[in-house]
Amino acid sequence: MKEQTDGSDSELLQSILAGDEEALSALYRRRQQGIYRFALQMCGSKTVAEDVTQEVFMVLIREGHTFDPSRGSLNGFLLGVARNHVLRRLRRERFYVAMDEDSECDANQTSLPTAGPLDDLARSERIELVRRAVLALPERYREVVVLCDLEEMSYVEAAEILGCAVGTIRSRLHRGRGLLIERLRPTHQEETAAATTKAARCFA
Amino acid sequence: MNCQSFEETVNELARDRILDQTMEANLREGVSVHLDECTACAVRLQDGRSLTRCLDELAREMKSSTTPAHIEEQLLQAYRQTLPQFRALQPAASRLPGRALGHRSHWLLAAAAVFLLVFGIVLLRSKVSPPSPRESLTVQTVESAQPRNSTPPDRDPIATGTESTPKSASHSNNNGALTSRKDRRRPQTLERHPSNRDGETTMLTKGARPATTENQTDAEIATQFIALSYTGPASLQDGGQIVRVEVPRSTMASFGLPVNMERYSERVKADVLLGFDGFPRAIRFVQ
Repeated sequence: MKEQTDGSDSELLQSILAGDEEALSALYRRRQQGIYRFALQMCGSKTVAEDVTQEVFMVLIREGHTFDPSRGSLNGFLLGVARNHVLRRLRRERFYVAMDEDSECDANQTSLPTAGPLDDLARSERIELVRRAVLALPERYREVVVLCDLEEMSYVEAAEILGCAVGTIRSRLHRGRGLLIERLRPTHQEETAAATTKAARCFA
Repeated sequence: MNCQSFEETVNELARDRILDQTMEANLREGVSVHLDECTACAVRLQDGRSLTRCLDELAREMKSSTTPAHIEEQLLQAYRQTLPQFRALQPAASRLPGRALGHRSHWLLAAAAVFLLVFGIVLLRSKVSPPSPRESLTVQTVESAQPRNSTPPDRDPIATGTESTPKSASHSNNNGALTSRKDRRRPQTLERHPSNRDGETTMLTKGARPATTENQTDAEIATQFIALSYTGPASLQDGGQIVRVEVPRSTMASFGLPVNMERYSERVKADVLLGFDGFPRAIRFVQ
């Protein structure tokens, strides 16, 4: 059993394809969290994320023989499958409305506040706001932000999973982060204005 | 460093993930000089760092997210169910490795494609060319100067049914007669092929009158009339006309006829059979 849990992903896959249930269990426990988190951060629904995670491993059982180690890691393969399933579900169900991609964020032209836009928010509110802002990103930016910023993957790993060039990942991340900053700034300004009004009323 | 080059590196700086260590020292020095001069870029970097902190918090929050235990149970159960099928397939797979299977299947697909292509061509040719002596009469000639029988039609030559004399098919200028290739010398009346297929008009010759020699040099080979798709079964009851037109050769392809691709852009002559109401009923191509 120890041997199973310590084996590489590829070895576990071979065992799974040979009919070893323990190998499947070991691989599932090793990789399910990353897949589930990715799906959850992409779609915002626990139910969908669970479905996607289960479906990814079902695909591995059915079509694991198609995995080619020379083309990338098994984790990348699994996340790629997860991504396809998530995108399919998103297109079918449309949980969230995407942000306007045309709202260009130009740091040189906008007058940014000197204080950080998110510094004063309570932690839990801030996390919720950021979570919603990430979910509201267009899919192609969202997946890069999730992989690179939330899952802390390198550009190369993200490029392998998404099947695109490293430069594309870099530019999408740049754009996605710019959209996030734009998205979060008005909220901060509104809340600051609301707090000022409330304080003025108290003193009135 | 200027604002543009700063913008290119701001995300790496905000995320504190610069991979090249040797480059990092130079970059940081240039950045600090630029930030002293440019407030907007300093704010941009601050925003980026705030965002990084927020995203890190979100990532930490979600670190413990995991699937419920019943998902693993369901997965293992599904695995157990698929395992027998999988094992049944396993020997076959081991006998025929994936790569070899791929090659073989490619060859099989190629062979099947060639077979289908050849079969399709043969089928198409057999449809166009006269397969039997009686059907060979369906290939006709148009003798352009031959006076035509101008008797009004009593039957629709396109309609499926028994014999009809397509006197209906009198040319608009009375300039053509339909004769068989086998018996070009005799002007002929036309009759409908009894075993006509749907949508196709077959003109058969009766060959009752003597031939006119003057038109033999103008002999043309024509396909049988092909009914146009919107033609009703009895639409030529009240008469009709044949009009000679020129159409692009590509039109033949739209009727399923073989087309020489080298002459695809050339025009080809065609006789259009018009109904009494002026609408085209059928077409045949003339060479």
